[in-house]
Amino acid sequence: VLQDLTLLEQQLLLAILRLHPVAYGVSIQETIKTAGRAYSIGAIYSALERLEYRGFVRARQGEATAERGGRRKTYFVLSAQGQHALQASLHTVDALRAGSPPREAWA
Amino acid sequence: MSTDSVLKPLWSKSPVAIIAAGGDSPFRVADALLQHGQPVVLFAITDWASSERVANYPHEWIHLLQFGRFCRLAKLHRCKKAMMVGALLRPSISRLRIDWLFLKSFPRIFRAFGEDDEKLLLVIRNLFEEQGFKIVEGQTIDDLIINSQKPLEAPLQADTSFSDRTAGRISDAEDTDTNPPPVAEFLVALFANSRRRDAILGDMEEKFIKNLSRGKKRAARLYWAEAIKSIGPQVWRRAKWIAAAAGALLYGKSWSG
Repeated sequence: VLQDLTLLEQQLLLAILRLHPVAYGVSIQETIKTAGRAYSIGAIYSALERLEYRGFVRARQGEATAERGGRRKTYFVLSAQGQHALQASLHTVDALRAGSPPREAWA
Repeated sequence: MSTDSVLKPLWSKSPVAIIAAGGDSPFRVADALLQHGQPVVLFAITDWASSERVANYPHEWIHLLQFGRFCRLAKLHRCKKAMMVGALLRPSISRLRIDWLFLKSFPRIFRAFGEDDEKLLLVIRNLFEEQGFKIVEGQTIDDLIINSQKPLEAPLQADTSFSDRTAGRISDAEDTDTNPPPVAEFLVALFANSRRRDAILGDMEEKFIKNLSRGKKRAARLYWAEAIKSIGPQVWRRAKWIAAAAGALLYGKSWSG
């Protein structure tokens, strides 16, 4: 049974998919920001932790750089289960959009 | 003792980490090592090491007590041996930067303070060795300083390429403190998940270094804003776990009672 995705989780999965295979905190945050939404690094990692727990993303340790004070990056990739969940979630949105009235009818 | 015989046990392809405090001696040691082909990286202590002279060597800036930062950066430079050189008088408390690794090691250092100096040095040596570094003996450093008084045989070619690559971290006489605000960093570290603490702090520092080009004060303000916004979700995540654990405990007790 597929679990529902929140809007943030949906956006995170889409950003990870777009940035594959070099999606990490800052790049994910910047990608989502270009779409007009701003989340803090803490909020992103908190949601990524949930997604990792549910098996939707996998994390791997990246390289350390001096700009990061010698700290390693953590890269995230979508698992097959995550891709399936994202597809199902987007399909639901698309199905609802298909039946919605044209833009002119919006209040 | 000749410099060659002093250097023999020191020599390796990986650079020697020189934790440079005040005075001339860190540079004399670095010169003696470079002259004999031994690469070095200076870990200059902010407010103590001369920024103008440090700029001539491959280097990184650290604050006093930033043990974790030193370990991470020294590993990044592939250093295996470390030495502490230079004068250090009583530092100003406002300029100290305590990081997680230092905090974890603090009880051992605090206990050793009650003992004699040798015990304290032994504890410090053990802390470095646990992190994979071999501390170079004080006698070896003294020998290097004595021998470096000889005139140089060849002009020194310090490799500053690495530090040049560290974008934004340009060391100059104006400001060598390129660390994020320590209290904000500490708060983020305190509430972050231990598995992701390094990644979160690394990401925030990367943004801070990028923002330095817009001015240090502005970069610090942006770091604080990001820190405050980041702490909330992390606290909420912890609170949910605590509430779930407490709920399970109460439920279990009600059944057993």
